[in-house]
Amino acid sequence: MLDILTLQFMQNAIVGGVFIGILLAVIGVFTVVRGQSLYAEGIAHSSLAGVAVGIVFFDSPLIFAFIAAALASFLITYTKESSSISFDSAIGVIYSLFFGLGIIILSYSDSFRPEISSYLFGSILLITSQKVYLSIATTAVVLGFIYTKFKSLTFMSFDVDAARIRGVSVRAYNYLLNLIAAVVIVLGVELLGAIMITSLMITGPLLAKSLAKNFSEMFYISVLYNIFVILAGIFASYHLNLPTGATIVVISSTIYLASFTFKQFRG
Amino acid sequence: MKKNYKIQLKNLTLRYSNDLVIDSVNWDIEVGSYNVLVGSNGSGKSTLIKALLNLIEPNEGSIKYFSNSSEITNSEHIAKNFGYIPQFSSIKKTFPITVREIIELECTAYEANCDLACSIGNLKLFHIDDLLDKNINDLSGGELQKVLIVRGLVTSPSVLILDEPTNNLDRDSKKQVLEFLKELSVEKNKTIIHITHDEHEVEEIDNFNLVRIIDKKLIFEN
Ligand SMILES: Nc1ncnc2c1ncn2[C@@H]1O[C@H](COP(=O)(O)OP(=O)(O)OP(=O)(O)O)[C@@H](O)[C@H]1O
Ligand SMILES: [Mg+2]
Repeated sequence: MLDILTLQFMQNAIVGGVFIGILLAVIGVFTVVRGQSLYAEGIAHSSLAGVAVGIVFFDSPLIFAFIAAALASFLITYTKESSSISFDSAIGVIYSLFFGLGIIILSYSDSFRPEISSYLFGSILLITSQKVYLSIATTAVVLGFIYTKFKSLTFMSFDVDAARIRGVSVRAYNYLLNLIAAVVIVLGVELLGAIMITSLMITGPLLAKSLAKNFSEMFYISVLYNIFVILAGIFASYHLNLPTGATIVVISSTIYLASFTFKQFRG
Repeated sequence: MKKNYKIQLKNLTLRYSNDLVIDSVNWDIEVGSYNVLVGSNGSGKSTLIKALLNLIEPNEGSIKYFSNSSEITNSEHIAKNFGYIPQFSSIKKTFPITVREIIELECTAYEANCDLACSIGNLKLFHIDDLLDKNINDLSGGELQKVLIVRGLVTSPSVLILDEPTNNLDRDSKKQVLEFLKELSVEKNKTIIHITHDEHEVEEIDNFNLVRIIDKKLIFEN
């Protein structure tokens, strides 16, 4: 069974998957406690505009996906900060714009491109070594940022007003945290695809929220959960010959529902 | 030496987009005074104190802070000397965080001012020191309310702003909190702005200014 570990593409998938899973868990915790569960969906859809530009004009979707996601993240945060509409409404307005633009740009390309299918459903088994290095580097940077700013980020997630009064630059951190989340989400789309990305960003944190005794524990539980479902999904899909992203998501949601039902029955 | 703050509102107007909430009001809040702000639901009590705390900008008019009659413009100075106990309903009660973590967060930005030992003392005073490492999910409403009061005091502020601090408290606890606030005002000369639905609840305090919000205006009674 372990002979698959000698395959280069499997090694890439496992290492890339684990690091992207850690990133999604950590960012997902903030997304969940800040009540922004739709953000992953919004950014993943917005990145289609970049993917489209990348494949129609340049043959390199990832860098443009990052640019589109960063732009959408900025516009969503800006719309939220400068009006009284809710965060979800801001996401709704901005992501439909980017997604629409993406579809229009794609109509310039006359054939169906395989990149679109990996955008939609993920392609973890095709992940290149370069992207694996990129995930590792991103994980180092993101964890470093969160570690050094942990108190401020926690404070503003728990109680914005109190954080502001005590001098936390809430506005700046909002932009920064949303931007970092956007970068992480684009990497997550590589793994799971735009349609299923939300699963790995919120399921672990939601489960962790009900189990954690304190805030730090919520991170540990979410990270372990994501690593487990990603590895289980990769192995199961390889042996059963199933699509990997979908297998990961199905395993994850099943565990969540099972734990939920278990708790209901236990009282 | 702690600074003593006087706060002066001049022709202060507050709006949410086009909805007028506070209409050109004046108010001098004296050092060491105990002010009780009453008004019906939605009358603008929380909005007014958010302006005092610099959380929302005045649409018209001004809020000025003075220390020994010289004006203070540095917002860090203001932040360091204000304590805020938010309205219970605005707290994320399902956030997985412990009482200790909440209290320590208060010391995030301006650490010099923090007095954790004093907070533990206050927790003891309210008989909730055994809850220090409990998740706030697992506290009763009254217990969490007391935690919020203790948290608001961790930096020993000179001005204390409390948004309905006795909600969720039983009779004895309510009495204890009111005694405690009275002591802060009388013995430590702290300025207190206390929002409540029930103006009778503070009648044990000998000397307080009653301020009503009626029709977007302030009405003063002594
Ligand atoms: N963020 C907001 N955006 C728009 N309108 C708001 C906002 N917050 C409050 N309001 C409105 O402003 C008015 C005053 O609200 P505020 O919360 O200050 O009332 P309050 O006196 O504190 O009420 P309560 O006794 O219920 O706490 C209300 O009509 C409310 O609907
Ligand atoms: Mg209120």
